Amino acid sequence: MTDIAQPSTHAAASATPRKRSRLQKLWQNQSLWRGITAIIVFLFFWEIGSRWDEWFGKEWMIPGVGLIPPPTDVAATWLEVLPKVGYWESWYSSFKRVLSGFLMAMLLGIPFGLLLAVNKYFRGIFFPPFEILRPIPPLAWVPASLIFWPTNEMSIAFITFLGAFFTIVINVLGGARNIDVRYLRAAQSMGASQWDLFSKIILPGTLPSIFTGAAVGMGITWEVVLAAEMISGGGTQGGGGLGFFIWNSYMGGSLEQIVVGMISVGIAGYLSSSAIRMIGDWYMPWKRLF
Amino acid sequence: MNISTPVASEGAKPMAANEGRGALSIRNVTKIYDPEGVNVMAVDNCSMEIAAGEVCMIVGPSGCGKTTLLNAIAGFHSITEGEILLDNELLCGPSKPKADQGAERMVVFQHGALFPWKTLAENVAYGPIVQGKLRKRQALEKASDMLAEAGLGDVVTKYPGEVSSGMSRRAEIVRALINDPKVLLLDEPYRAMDALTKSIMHESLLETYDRTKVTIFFITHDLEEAIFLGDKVHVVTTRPCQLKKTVEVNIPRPRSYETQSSEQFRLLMDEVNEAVHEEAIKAFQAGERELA
Repeated sequence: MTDIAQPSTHAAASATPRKRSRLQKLWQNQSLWRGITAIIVFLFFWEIGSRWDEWFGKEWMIPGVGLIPPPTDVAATWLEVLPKVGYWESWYSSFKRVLSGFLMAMLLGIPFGLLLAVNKYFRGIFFPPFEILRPIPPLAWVPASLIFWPTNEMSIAFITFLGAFFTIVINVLGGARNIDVRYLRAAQSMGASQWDLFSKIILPGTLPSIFTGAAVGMGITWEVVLAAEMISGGGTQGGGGLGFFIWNSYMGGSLEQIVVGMISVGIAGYLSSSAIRMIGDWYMPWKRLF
Repeated sequence: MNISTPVASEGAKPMAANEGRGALSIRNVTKIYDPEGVNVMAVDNCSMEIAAGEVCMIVGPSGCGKTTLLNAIAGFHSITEGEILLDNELLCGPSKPKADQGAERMVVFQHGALFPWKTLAENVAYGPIVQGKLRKRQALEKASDMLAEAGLGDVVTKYPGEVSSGMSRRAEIVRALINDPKVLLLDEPYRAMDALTKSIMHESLLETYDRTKVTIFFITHDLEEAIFLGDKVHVVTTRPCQLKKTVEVNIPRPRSYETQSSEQFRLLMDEVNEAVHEEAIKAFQAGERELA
């Protein structure tokens, strides 16, 4: 940018003479290895717990754990399921539902929350009904929306949207209202217009809350989608999703496949929240330091 | 402001940039907070004259209404009675209880108010950009130059969270100065700092002042700080805030840290200390009464 900044960047570059490759970094990442070790240890105990009764007889079965299929059996079933199109269709349709509901909630929730925060008349009119609707759990909307919306798919989308919407709005509202008044005063003293205040102070100041809301909202969306898929039974309209996959396995009496479905949901949720974290890091470089 | 001029103005003859600008008149100002009918008088008929280019230090017990006064000058709060003028222009008065906020009165806050989501250079460049005075690129260049001048050249692209509190406070003063203010309003900017950092901050502020001769309205608890930095030390009473005593500090500028061990400095300390101590006792007793 300027000639002042340059010497320091040169110095920084020469201070790290050989750059480690991405793979090397991954290899040397201690917390990654700790995580992998933890998962292996967990699987090990699960295996032992599930097999206890096989080795020592039924009377030694550990309550609860003994009924769950051991990880090796689950893995075997998973390998059987993996090449099947239906399994991936379940992933696809669940992801599609989560994403569409979530994006819709972000698209409507962020502006709505910001409006609530900056305009007291808007808040006066819309906040009370919002606060009455907010405590209603998304699943309580299921019967009404099944009646109200013409197709199953639309009711699922609507309920999913609701799950994320309220969380996102409440986070955005809280974040925008909690911006330190010093920032607003400083900006105003420096001659910021109303638009500058909004775009350069309130919006970036709310970003951390927006991403918190998004992360929580994403979690709720997965919960709601899974439950909705189980309730609606999927079936009639193409892919039933991972929820239906689990339910179907239950109906078919395959314990291993139930666990496969559950772990699949866990992985899907993890991927979703990692994506949100990555986007958050990218949008908020100043937050990376903490 | 002519930033690029070398700082070799040998102290005695400052750059003329701010000469004759920034005279503050606070005349019979009263402020009554009235939340739900509970009258709290924060400032009572307080008057002060601050000459252009003066470093005016306000010293008084905690919660006495010093910040209320600053907020009124900055335009954050209204006043109940009296008037405040800047260079003989009315900021606020009976016809207009709350001053407009403006870049000629820049505030440096107690806990700092650099925008955490902007780099130091972007923070400093913010004022000229939103005022439409400079294009973004020029503003950033000027900001980097000014930061370098304040000894922050290495950290222009860092975020406030990445630098020390001393650095961010210096950057905040640069952010104020780039707007070419008539008055710099500082509300205990160095309060939470250790003595060593503080002494560096003081020298840096003095150096900045010698260069710009901007009028400074500085609130503090620290008597040494008040005498070391100030031309005048205004001791104010405990709530409601009134002017109790003004002590003239006739120590010549530029001042260095050794000044603090001189006999003259010690005598001034005693003088200020006596006035402040009385008020501190009153404030303490008032606090005990409120609790009883």
